[in-house]
Amino acid sequence: MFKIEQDKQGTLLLSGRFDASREESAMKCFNLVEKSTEIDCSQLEYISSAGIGVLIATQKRLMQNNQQLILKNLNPHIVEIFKYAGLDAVFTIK
Amino acid sequence: MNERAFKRSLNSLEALFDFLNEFLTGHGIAGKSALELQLALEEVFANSVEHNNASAGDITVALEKTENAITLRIRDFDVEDFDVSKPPDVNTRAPLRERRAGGLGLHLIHTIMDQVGYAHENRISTITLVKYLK
Repeated sequence: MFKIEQDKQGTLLLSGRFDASREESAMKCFNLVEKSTEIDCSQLEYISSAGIGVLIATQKRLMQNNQQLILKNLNPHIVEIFKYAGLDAVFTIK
Repeated sequence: MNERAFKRSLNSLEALFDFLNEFLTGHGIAGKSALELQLALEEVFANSVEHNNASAGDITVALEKTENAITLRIRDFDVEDFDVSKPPDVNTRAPLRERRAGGLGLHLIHTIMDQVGYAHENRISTITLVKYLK
């Protein structure tokens, strides 16, 4: 189960498991993001390179207009995976 | 060794995770090690689905626990030779504009697994992933 929801402040809430089977539907959702947006990962249990690819592609697109994704509330295991992938260098992680 | 065949589809991932997690739970393995084994298995399986799409056969996954390690063995049939045992050239400190989509999954596999083995014989690939239990 993987879900993307948006709260009233515009924060995107990711929950569940972001694996390769969710890449296509998630990309459609992230393609709608046009300005700097916080991504609340407190309920994100798992992410693979497919999910990371969606975040990187979105970040690349947004940064062309000086906008960005801001990742927050990641669990420690996912922070570690992000560091292995070098995402700590290209995302603001709160 | 526990072994099961999975259809060549990303829709198999849920069943694949269930198979692995049931095995890991049975051996009292959770947390970081479990997450990393899930991740490595998904990366190998998803690569097979994406790159070996000329093959129609199932992909088999075997799981084994020894005293100090978990071994995952993924076999794919009627496929081309693609050696995954060497880490890819991925620069994870490169600026965003220079990041490429390819290679990240294999880079993660090599980072989180203790051994990555590969064999290709009679058009059958066998990828062996070993995670030491600390």
